[in-house]
Formats: sequence, structure tokens, C-alpha cells
Amino acid sequence: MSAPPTTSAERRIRLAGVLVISGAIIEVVTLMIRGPLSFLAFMFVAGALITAGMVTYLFSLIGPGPRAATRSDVSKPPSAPPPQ
Amino acid sequence: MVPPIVWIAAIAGAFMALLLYVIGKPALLRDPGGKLLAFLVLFLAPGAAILVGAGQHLELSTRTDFCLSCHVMEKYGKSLMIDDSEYIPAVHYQNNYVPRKNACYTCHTDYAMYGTLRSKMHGLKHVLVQYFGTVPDTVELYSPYKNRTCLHCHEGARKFEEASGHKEDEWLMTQLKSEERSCLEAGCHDAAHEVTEFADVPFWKGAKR
Repeated sequence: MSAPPTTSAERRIRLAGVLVISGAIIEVVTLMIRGPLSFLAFMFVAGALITAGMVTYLFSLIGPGPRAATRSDVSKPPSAPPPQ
Repeated sequence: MVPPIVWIAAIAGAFMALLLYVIGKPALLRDPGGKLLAFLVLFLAPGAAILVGAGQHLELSTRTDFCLSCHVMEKYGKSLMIDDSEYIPAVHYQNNYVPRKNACYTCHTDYAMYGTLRSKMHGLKHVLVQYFGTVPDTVELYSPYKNRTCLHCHEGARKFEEASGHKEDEWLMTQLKSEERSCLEAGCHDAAHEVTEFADVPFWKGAKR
């Protein structure tokens, strides 16, 4: 049993993986069944799920990481010199 | 020799296993190696899967059985089996002038630049109308049939260039090639998919195997 994800980035990675694997399974099924309906299922279900997974993964890269900076970590900017 | 489908299945299976590993341990994103693995299985491999799947589906959509799987196209498929040596679609289909498994696509795609893309967009519209719209009683072409499609195969062919009907008028070939006159105009090759006149037409039974 895997440990539950602790950060939002890890949760997004897991969600992205689930979306991609769901889309990939549907894609494989559509490739085994010939016909216009399987073509539509590939485009609008499998394609959408895989794309959503890829986008979710990209969001996990730009989102807050496992060591997100907090306000206390940020040092104060140097005070401005007194006017002369 | 191992068939390509086995290699594709093996690669897909390996990526699936890696994907499950990433789902099980999302914390590996903290390491550089894990980041690379995540990029591979959550971005590159899914992108490749979409491209390969789209290519495979587009290839399948060029097949005659794909076109004829819609009810509205059944009678057009039936017209390929009419026993008449003057009936253009039947002559092409029955004599293997076009590949039988891609018969519809061969004569109904646009061979110009972006022609395939245009044909695919039209085909997608047909599929959407089939399932989500109202199928019209009469199926019509988007634009008049272009000679270019015929000439894609026939131009330069001896039987075509030396046909008596094509040699009668010295300007005919020029007019055909410049689309001033249509191959399908009245009096020439005007018998194509008249699907309302099937009542007393004999049909070819097919080649003996």
C-alpha cells in the first residue's frame, strides 16, 4: 500500500497519472473496436482524459512544491537609506 | 521475427507499469531522477500515445467498411456492386482500379495541398451528424466533383489518353485538366452513385474465391 500524497504537487501527480492511465485504457479499447463510434470515443474521451492528465502534470510543476516558501522564510528587504 | 504489434504492446505495457509506479509513489518528484521519470510517463509518453492513436484511427477511417458502417451510406456501398460496365463507381471497384478496402476514400479525398486535412474535417463532420445531428435524405458533395481526383490516377495512362472519346476534340484534354469541363458532365461519365434507381438493376455477385 502506497503512502498517501502529502503535498498538493503530489496529489496533482497522482491525479495526472490516474487521468493518463484511464485515457490510455480507453484508447486501447477504441483501437480494438472499428467504427465511427470508437473514433469519437478516442477523440472526445480518451484524448480528453490524456490531455487533461498532461495539463494536470504541467500544473503540478508550476504549483507549490513540497517545500513551498512561507512568509517567515522570506527575509526582509533592506531598508532604504535615509534621505540626505 | 517478432511482429511490430508485440513491440508496441511491450513498450505500452512498460509505460503503464512506470505510470502505476509514479501514481503509487508521487513523492519521487522530489528527486531529479523522479522528475525525469514523471516527465517521461506523464508528458512524453501520453503525447506519443495520442499521436499514434490518432494516426491509427485516421488510417482506419479511410477504409471502405468504416464509411459503409453508417446506415445512410449503405446504398452507396451497394452501388459499387452494380453489374454495368458504364457505371463509374462499380467499374472502378469491381476491376480493382481503386483498392477495394479504401474505395470510398480513394475517389473522395482531395489530393491538393491540405486535401487530406480537409477531407478529414469533412469526415469528422459526417460522423458528428450521424450521431448528434439530423442525417439529410440526400447526401451531396460539398463542392462539384473535381477532375483532379480522376486525373490523379488517369492522367498519362495510355488507356485514358488514347480513348476515342478523349481524342475526338483536341481541346478536350486541356479543358479537363484546367477544370473547365467536368469528367462527370452529361453525356460523358455521368453515371455515379444514382442510388434512387436500384429497382431493376442487376448486381455483380462478386469474384469467385
